[in-house]
Amino acid sequence: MADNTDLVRRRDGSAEPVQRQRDTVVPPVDVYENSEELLLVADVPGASHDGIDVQLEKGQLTILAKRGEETAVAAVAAEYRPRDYFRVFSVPQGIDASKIDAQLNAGVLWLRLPKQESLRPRRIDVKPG
Amino acid sequence: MLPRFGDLESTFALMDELRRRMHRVWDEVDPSWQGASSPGSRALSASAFPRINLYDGGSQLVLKADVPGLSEKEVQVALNDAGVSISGERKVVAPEGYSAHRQERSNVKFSRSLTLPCKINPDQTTASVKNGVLTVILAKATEAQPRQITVRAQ
Repeated sequence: MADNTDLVRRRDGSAEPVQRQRDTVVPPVDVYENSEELLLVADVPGASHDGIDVQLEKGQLTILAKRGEETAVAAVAAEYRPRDYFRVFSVPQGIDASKIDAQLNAGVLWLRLPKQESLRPRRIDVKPG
Repeated sequence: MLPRFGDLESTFALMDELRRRMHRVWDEVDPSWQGASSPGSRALSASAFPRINLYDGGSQLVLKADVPGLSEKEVQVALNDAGVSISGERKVVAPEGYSAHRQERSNVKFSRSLTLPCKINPDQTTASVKNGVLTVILAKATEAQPRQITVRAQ
């Protein structure tokens, strides 16, 4: 498990290694959608605002959340090791990358990915003839 | 038309789930980790929620637990003769008007008790929640605190 590289598969089938600085864990994520946006909810306890890095590039949404706290004292009993969170999603075309909104609340990251205007459903009024 | 989110990600989904499970397994079996740097330490069950780390800071014990999504009002910490117990409930509510593509976060109702290695002074015990991490600072009772013994020359 000492391998720090991870293969990220591109859409065209090629794979490329991505260097990571530290060992990471995969956070559990909920994905929701409505007509306006995609909503991702991720559990990232221990991560702080400035430790979160979200990027959308070539259809790949990368979420990195760094856990700040490191305890120097020895653990008497330990069930987990505080580790950074890392996850990659392929997102569909038509997400407005400039309008992605990220909010962190009580260790839960809320990511809103608004759809482009042209993809949103439009109601057509039917006029009486 | 927007393709379905889950379909595109399905190649990763299996890997992610596997990775997540493997991490849990590794946490359980990794001996370097279980040994956790001091000989007296031991690992507790890794499948419990929330997972707890207990640190010894000399005059106090520090308990940490990951409770994502819970505020300080939703976690109860109780001290008794035997040790400390924490309890609470996390409800994952799907936002209104959204359809769900995947739901990996789950509802949990938990109650866990720990036996502590020494006596605690209940009056100086504090608990706080920050960024989804519960921190309980348990001040050791005076008789349990480490005492420096001066070694004198004869």
